Amino acid sequence: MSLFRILWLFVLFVGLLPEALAQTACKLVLSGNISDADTREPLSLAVIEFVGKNRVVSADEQGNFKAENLCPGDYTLSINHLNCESMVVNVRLTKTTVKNFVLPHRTNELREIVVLEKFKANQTSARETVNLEQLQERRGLSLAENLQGVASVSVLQTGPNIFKPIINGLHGNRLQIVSNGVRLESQQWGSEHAPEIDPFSAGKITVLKGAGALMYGSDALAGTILVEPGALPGQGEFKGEVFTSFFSNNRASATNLKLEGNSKKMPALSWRAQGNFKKSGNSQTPDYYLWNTGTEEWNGSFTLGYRKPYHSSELFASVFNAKLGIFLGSQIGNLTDLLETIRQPEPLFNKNAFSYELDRPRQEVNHLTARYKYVYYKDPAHLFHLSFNVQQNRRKEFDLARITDTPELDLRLTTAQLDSRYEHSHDNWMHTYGVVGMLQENVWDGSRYFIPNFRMLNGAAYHLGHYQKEKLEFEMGLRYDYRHLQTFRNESGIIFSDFRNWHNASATANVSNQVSDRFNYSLNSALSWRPPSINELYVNGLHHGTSSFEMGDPNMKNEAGIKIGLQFQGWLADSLVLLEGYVYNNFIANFIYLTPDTPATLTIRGAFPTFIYKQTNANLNGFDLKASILPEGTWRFTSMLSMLYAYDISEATWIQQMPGNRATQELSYNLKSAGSISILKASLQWVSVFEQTRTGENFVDYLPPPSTYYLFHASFSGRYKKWYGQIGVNNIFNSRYREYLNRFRYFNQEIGRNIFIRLAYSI
Amino acid sequence: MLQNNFRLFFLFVVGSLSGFYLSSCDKTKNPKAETEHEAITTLSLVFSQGGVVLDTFKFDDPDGVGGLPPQQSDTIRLQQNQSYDVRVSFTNKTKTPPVDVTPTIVRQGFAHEVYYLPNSLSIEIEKTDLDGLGLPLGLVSIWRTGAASGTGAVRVKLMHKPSVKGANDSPNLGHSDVDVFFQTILQ
Repeated sequence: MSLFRILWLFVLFVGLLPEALAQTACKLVLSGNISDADTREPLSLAVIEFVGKNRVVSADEQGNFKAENLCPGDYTLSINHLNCESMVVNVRLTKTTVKNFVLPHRTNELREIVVLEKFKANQTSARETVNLEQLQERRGLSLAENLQGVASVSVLQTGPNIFKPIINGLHGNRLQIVSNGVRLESQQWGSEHAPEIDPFSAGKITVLKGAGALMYGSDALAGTILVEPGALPGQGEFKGEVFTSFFSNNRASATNLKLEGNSKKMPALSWRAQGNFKKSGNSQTPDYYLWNTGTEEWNGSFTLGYRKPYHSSELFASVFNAKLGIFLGSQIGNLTDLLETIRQPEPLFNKNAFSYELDRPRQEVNHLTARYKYVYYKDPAHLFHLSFNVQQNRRKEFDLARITDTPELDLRLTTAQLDSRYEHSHDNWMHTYGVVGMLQENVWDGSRYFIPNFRMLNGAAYHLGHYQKEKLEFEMGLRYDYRHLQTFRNESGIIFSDFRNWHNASATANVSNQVSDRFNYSLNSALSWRPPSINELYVNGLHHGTSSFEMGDPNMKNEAGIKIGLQFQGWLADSLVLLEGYVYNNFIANFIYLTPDTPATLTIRGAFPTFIYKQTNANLNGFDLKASILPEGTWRFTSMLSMLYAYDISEATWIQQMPGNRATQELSYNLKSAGSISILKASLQWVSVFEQTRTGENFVDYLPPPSTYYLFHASFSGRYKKWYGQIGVNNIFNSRYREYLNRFRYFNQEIGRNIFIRLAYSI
Repeated sequence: MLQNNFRLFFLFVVGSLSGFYLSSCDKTKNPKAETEHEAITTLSLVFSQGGVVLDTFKFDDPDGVGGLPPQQSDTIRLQQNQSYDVRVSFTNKTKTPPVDVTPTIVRQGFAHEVYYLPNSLSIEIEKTDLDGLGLPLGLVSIWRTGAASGTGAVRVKLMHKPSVKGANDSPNLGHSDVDVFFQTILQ
């Protein structure tokens, strides 16, 4: 009922578009010349790619180019030339335009790399990208918060400072996060664990919504988040940036320093160093502070690249360190405590004051990554890629009760992975053959058991075939995985060892087609599987913070999912309106979920509700729609809507803890500089999160889903020479609300008004 | 150069793998015991009059939270019109030998308090001890029974409340370390 109203409203927004405003049909021409920045010589045969439009235009011998029959709107152009650093430029086209581009020169030694960039696989899958400019507008926030502008992504929260991304309703190790080619391995540590990724290290974040990023793994039933740094600097370059941001609500500040350069003596050698420090204090709701919700974080990374004709090497190392305070009032002892807390209008177990102090309970998280990548090719049609990485994830949990100064739970997960692949392109085909080997070990320490020690071996082989004929692209992939898991447990001094093996095949098939300048689509399908994670199998004990007694099931089977999605992009109303959408259906057999069970577990600490992990057949379908109205000039209106229906087929009921309907409207004023990023931007945002009504009849929860809420945000940003500045306010009206996907919604309201300032200076 | 590069890669792989093995292999195979080491498994209420111990009532879950259900949950039997000196103690039986946790609670008195909540019974309970800051602690108490006989329950709670403990806190403030109901008969 309300759902149809929302849909109708959305259609209305799109339908309301005044046709009269549209003046130009798709007959615009963009032309100009491309030359070398140093020598000013024309760059013959440079290639301009219209990113996301599947259109490529080449320049002639004199560097002149011409693209006809363009619709008005915003384009991202990627300009490539053999001898130059490729350049990405945003262009707003309102009339026939002439634009000239100069590309920074690069040493010849790098050219093959540039050529190879053209053969990038997996461009056919449904995706959404957060670019550098959008990232800059959210600097100082966590990875999941950086993705909130992506329609498919919502956020699972644990209090005001722990955020975990959700893609189309699924999270944890049902989605994979790949940072600079290294897959983050710590996601099996439960839902109150945020990914250890430093968003400052990202130059671009891509959300792949399909399940088919087979190169990185096969268990991402929901999708993949790719965090990628920018390219290393070219010849003779030296660049840097200082970035700092402040937030009023929790008096947080974050400062990042990035430096990158290219060696003058050895032009093949480039490097990048980056580091940041963040600190925040107690968050504040409209009515009270939340005691012990501060954070402290420092991160850094170093990249060294060595590029010669026919081969290149890259060494990358990063460190992530965070201390995260857990709200004192969330520390309930048993079910009675929980019900008592819910009854109180304000948390009783709280100190209503500001402080930077970080006491118990808290999490301390470290993540270390080292990666060595080696690429070799005799000619660009045959490329060998070898990558080895090690990562160590460490998570220490300090409970409220202090017995000793050591953490009550101390997990150390160490992973080594070797990736090798061979890429071969001929005619319209590109084939990728890959072999992956992985070894993982988990060791726990402390006094509170959560998951057992284990050793895991994973071996996989895959093939991806990509075919392109003009505007039609087709890709299919196959992957086989073998996994061996051995667990070691100690029950009252006796050590038990148990092992399990899994074999599985995954497959993907994608088609994409640029039907016309005004419409393109991409149809994705993927068959994937996920072995039960270690806590789903072996957890057996009290879950602190949720006041529940959880029990795993060691006999659980694999989850197997089939996700089919259609992404489309079309221009309507004479190119005034850009309509983008993603519609999907994700069927998951043996879907693992946590459900209440009787009787309650009686302990000396009181009674606890019992939860057990069960399997069912689930179907998740939904859509993400985005409509942008782009009249000529500087105004822009965007409307976004996401809906998800998560249904438990076996039990004939809704699946709980799924995101409700969400809509976002944004009105912005952009003033662009010549062919580049915006120099002035003012934006007003209206976010509506609707009450989750799809909870089912056998709905068990201590507190019903919170009611619908609306938030208003505003920001203003500008660029001047080497400076960038932004000022804004989130939750302008200091609204009181609770969020269904915050696990702490039983204890406290969400945070109130937050004024922020960002400032950057580029060297 | 090419060979050097490859050699470097190889060294990196071998180096990391051996580091990996040396650091964690043994630990993986020899996990720690899963019982909650620092748990409270047993609560004892010792009743005495004039220094003479009359009775001890216990709630006992020797393997801690989870595993087997609690093994012992006594019924408190008291006489009408009496005054009893009561001491409560907490033990952790998951360790060998069992550890008395009571001194730890005394040491961290500023963050703890014991509550006695009688239900449907004419018992008055007065806490007589204080923590280091002069706030009630509740390990020692006097129970005064009334004239009416009856059956009910006494709920014993050990609340953990760092940073917020005050003089007249509600028994609901903080986090329950222990929360046990004793069936109680007054005769």
